[in-house]
Amino acid sequence: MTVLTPVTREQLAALAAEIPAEPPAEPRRSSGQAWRYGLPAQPLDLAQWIEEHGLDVREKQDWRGGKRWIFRICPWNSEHRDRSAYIVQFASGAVAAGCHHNSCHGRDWHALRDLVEPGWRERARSSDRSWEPAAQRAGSEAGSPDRASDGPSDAAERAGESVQLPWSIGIVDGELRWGGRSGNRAYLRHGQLRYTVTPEGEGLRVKVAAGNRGSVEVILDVDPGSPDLDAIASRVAVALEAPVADVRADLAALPEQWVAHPAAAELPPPADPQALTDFAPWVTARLNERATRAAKDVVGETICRWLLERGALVCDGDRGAPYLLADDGGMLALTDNESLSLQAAVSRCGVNPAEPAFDWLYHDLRTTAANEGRRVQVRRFSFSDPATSTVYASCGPRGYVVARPGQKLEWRRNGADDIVFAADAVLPEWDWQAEPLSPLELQAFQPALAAPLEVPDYTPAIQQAFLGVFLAGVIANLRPLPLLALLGNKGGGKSTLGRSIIRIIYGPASGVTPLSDDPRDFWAMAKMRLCFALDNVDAEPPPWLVDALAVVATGGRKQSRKLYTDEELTDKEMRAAVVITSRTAPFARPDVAERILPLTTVEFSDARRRADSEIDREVGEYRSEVFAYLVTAAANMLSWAPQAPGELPARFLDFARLAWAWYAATGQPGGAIPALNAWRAAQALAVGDADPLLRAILEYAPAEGIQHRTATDFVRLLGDVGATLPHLGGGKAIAHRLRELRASLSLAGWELIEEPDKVNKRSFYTLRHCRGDGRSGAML
Amino acid sequence: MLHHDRHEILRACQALFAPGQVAELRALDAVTRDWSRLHTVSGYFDDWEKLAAAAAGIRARGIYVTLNPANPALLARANNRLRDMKTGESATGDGDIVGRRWLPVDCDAVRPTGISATDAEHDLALARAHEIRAYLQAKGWPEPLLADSGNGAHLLYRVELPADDGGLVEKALAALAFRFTDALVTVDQKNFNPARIWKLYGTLAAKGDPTPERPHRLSRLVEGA
Repeated sequence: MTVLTPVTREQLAALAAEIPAEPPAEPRRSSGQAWRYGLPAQPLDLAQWIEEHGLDVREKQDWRGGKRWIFRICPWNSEHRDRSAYIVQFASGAVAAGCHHNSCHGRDWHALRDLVEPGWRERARSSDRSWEPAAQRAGSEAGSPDRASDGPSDAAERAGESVQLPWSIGIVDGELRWGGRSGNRAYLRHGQLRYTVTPEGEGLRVKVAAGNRGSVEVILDVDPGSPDLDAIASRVAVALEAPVADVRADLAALPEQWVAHPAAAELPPPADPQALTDFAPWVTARLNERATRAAKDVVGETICRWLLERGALVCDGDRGAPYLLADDGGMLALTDNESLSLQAAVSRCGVNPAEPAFDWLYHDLRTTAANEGRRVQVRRFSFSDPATSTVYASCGPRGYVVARPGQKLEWRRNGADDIVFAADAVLPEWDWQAEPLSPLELQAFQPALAAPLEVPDYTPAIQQAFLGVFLAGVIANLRPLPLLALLGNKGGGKSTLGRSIIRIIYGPASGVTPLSDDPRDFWAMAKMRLCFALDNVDAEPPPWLVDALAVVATGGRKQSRKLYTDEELTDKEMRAAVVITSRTAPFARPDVAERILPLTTVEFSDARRRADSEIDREVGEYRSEVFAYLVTAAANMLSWAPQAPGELPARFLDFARLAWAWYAATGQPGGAIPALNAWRAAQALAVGDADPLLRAILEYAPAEGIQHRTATDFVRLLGDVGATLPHLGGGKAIAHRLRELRASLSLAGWELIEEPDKVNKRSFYTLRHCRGDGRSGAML
Repeated sequence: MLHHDRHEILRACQALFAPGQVAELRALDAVTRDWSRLHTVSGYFDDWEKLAAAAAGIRARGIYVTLNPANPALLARANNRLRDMKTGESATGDGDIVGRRWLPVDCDAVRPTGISATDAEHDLALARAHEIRAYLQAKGWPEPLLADSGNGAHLLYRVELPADDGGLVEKALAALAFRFTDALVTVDQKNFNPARIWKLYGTLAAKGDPTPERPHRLSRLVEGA
């Protein structure tokens, strides 16, 4: 392990010193009249200044109550491109600029102005105090001779001038607005100066309050419906005892602050929004802490309308009325609760999705979607329409692919044709234009298959064909499907095949799952996945597993009590296809066994063995090709399936029809019946076939059973009665295998009892017929 | 499903902690056998093997450790084991820290709270960490530990400072945030208090639900250990 050198105090201090310091306040020249009214120095609009001078800065960031801009390239030295140059405006309005490089030491805000705004110093000197508001300037000039005689009456005279107003008191879209729907009242704040405009009889009353100096009230005889703005301005000027032009200049900065005020509730929504983000400034302006229910209604309704018009607010037509939302990013993100996509949409509107106070927006979106949203079919992963032999498979979050027999694949945007794949149930994107390639061509899908000794007809070719049927069935979400059981000793490519199936579906990051102790993990996968693979289900599986597999294999539903409730039941459909790798098939209860598709493997010869990495790479490389093949194959199978003969030799007819269609679609309709016969025979053997010890017991155990033997004696006795067994290892190894076989034996009507002898640290085994067990012998 | 990586946790402990140091392991929103409601689990450790074993067995939204050495007396609260924290029980406070060993820099892509990062966001944060490291290297700073927090990137610079450092760490983080935070990536400037808890590498970053776009990831040390 490397020893890290500590950073020195000096290095830390040097870094800390890079934070710009706030410059001392500009000298206030605020004496005289304007000061009486508390007019503050008007801060420079730095954002506008930056834009006017075309500075190449990254976007504005909030910083300590003020704003911060970082230059892409240092304005003083174009070699400095490492975010070293900055401009900040402090909360007080003071501005600092600089560059952290030593060679730029001493460059500051004034230096920047010198650089990009040459002559600003002269202009500032000539107008003396350009940074000061006009009224303040006027105030401090009060002592000059031409102002000495100015009194209120003189000001009123000036106010009488007809002036064209560039400003407005709360002017929005050219008309004066006062208050919300209820208030008929509007006011503005600007520093300590406050204007209040309220209706008064036939006119409007303007009250001007300035700091703690009292207030001046003016009744304006203007019509509230079409107020004479010039008159308002004039009277305000009179109240301020300041020249109209100066007041006008002061107020020029007001509308921006006005917009942020609750009274701006009447601010119109954006004219032509293209995305939810376009609403954000408007929503922010309307929804400050004093937003009324009415203001919220307007926001909620406007956004919902806009989404509805775009067809982006939708509702699951099959499941009644959950509220589903599609955002505007070209991706339909569906949800029936406050999950990510809904949060994302809300945050795009300028609302913090984590803030409980904004629940009403969720509510508006949901109810509007439920009541008025376009009805769509919400799908998971993929589905098929047997009537038209069409397969629809999702392809990443943005689209899905349509496969019809004999036609090229077509890509559609998610949501097209009222088909929507839920955001949490889409298959990772695949290249739908890839040249189709049968998975059976890939090494991963060629495990070392062998026909079981008892059913030589169940040939590797048949097993491979059924594997193809199963894969097409999985991809097209044709259900119910049998459990794909990969049986056999180690080294036959079982786990590799299981992993490859999952990787074809979910991409290279996924794989097989070890069996968890917690049944909820199983149910979660069965509900949420298209397919999952349980690896190495050996020995004694937990008791719930067999029941769980039976539910999944029969396409059943699972009812359970809702968490934290007493009576509410949830009813979930378990649709996932299941792949299991195992040595002994201990899960194969009769009702499950008839829904098993067993593939029996033997150990690979060294010549055929391939490295896992190579196989995985091949699967990753050809995922799209295989996908394209499987959806096409599934569509073809669907078109053939109706022609399947009514009586097929299988217990599991759904899959038998698919298998028949596969054979028909691949041009060998005659092959299906013998294959299905062989499958049926192999199912019966699924339980015991893979294990030589199990077979020896089933074939050679004496009818009266075996009494009280140690593991080694147990095997020796089997040998004595004629069984040929490979070397099974020592007593411990045999004992382990016996324990693994216990469940399988019980299927065949045998009970294996273990009696531990703790003193001598060994166990005795007794094999006898199960008593009173209805399933005894059902399998064999 | 991803699981915590015990070996990686042990490796992280050996890189982060000095021999004999006492560290608090704290899991937020955890569920244990005894208590199925989301709660906090905490324990004090000076045996990293035990810490790794304990951490690897936790189911929680996030698993953290105190970076800076805690007062060894705290070991008596839960000696090399985990306990469920009940209301009123205290975790390590700033007053319990005996010195600062790390300047922690945390880069995270800007995204809604409570969810895991996409691969693109994750990469952005890592790229920003590399940028910061190069910048500080140019100023003569020593090498840091570089770590993947699962959702973003961490840089850990060794320091030797008292717990009360006069705001030096705070200002240094503020300076980095000033320069390197933008609309895409945030450099967290709030990690300055000495008792700050920090992602334990090797554990799963499990913010929100995993989706194909926003998977849960294993946090890990990338370089420097």
